Amino acid sequence: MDAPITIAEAAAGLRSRTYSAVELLASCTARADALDASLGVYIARFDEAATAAARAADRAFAVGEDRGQLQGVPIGVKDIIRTEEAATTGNTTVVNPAWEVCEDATVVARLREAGAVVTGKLTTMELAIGVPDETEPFPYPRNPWDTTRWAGGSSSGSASGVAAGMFLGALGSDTGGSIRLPATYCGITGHKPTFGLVPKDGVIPLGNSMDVVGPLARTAADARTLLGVIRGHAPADACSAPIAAGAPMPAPSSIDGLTLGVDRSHLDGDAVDPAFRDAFEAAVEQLAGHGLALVDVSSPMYDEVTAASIITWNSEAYAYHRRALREQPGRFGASARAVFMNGGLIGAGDYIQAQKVRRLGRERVARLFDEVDLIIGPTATGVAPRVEGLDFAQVAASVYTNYWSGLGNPAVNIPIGFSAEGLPFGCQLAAPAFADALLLDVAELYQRDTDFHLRRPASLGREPLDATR
Amino acid sequence: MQPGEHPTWPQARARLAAEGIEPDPGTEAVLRDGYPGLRGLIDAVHAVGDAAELDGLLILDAGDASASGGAATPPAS
Repeated sequence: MDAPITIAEAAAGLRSRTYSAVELLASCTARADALDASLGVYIARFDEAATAAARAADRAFAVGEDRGQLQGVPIGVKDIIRTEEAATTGNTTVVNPAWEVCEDATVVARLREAGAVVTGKLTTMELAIGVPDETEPFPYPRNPWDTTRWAGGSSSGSASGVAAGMFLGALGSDTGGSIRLPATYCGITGHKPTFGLVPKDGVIPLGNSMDVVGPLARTAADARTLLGVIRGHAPADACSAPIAAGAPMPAPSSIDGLTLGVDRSHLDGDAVDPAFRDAFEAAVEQLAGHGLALVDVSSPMYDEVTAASIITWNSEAYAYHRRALREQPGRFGASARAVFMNGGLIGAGDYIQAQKVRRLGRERVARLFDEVDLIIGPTATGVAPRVEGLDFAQVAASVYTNYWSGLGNPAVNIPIGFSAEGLPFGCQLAAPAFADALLLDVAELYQRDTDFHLRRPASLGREPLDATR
Repeated sequence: MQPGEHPTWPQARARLAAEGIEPDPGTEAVLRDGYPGLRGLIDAVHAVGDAAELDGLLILDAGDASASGGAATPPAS
């Protein structure tokens, strides 16, 4: 029997007793044993604790206790998020006592309360800034579709591990695109929730006013399941919105009468792969086929909001890391050091004006959302770049994620096709603040009739699941 | 602030030094080479921000997140 690749599939198999949680975990662990050396997904594996959690899930199933779809399901956690099993490294050698605390962040505690099996902590680009650095003594996250290519970042291990089947879902974080970019390069679904919807206490900050924690999974339905567990207010996070934790996600809603704004502003130019344009147009057409009305739009103040976002997270990251930049600069990787010090070149007036731009941008985009319900645009207009000779500035020029980060609106990457070389393409759907459920509804609708999100690199195959029961 | 009114690279470099940040030569070269691009981003926000009349401090917090997107209100559940 093949191992399941979605949370929904696993949840069904566990409840039908087709396999146990221990057997499901063993299939994921075997996959990690076989692939991790080439993919660089894990910083730390919690095999012993995960096995104990899987056994507990099996005992719960045996007595009819069911805490929901995540019970017994293997889930990975980006290594900027605290867990009780191990200190948080952030993929850095910089020392900070706060990162050595072994306690669950609220989001991890909520996963465990839901019965999830936390398998370990996953590679991130150093301190979540999204710049690959081979000089650091951590695994270099490679793309399961082509291991000569980058997995994307900064939630690199989260995306590549899901794509490779090492776990069925993962937590990542997104400040300027760190969930959506690796999701698009690895061909999976990655959801950046509305700012404040998911608590981020216990998470190493990058840009405090933009950071969000969110799910990566094969399907939008799985992302909805994960979001339903981790969302909701936590007093430990001052940015956490007043939404009750544990409240069920709104039921899937009708899409009748919805209008989709189509932003093609970034589809021209030589840097755009023509095959990407075709995939994008096909995705728009497919959504229109479900009854969504289409309206051409241009995301307001795009360049200014993007600039404001970059200035904001650069400044906030500098403020957070300033002491370490003074006292232990040599412990940062070269690229992280440069990005963080760059924030020190930005003045207070520049930062404040950036916040003004974000506010104006939110007002403008809110008016646009009076006319359309969702907006579709590219996540990135190219495929995962090769590791060798990786030019991050060139990559960043084809990525369109900072805009929604600066505004705080939710956005989800969905796979929409493949390049001539067989590498995944993705696009980004965005919605009004706190309309995360609607966003995932539409993503799920798209995925009902497509299978891009379910495809796996042929070279990886599927792990057999040895169910002995 | 108009384009060109930013601190020059030596002035910006001195600001870092005043903060006790001393880039190694490799990092300093990266920062110096990237400074025109950073100034371009700063120009972009000042072009809008300097002209806009907005009251209040605009840092995001939970209440701000609740109002993100303008008048949007989080669902009660």
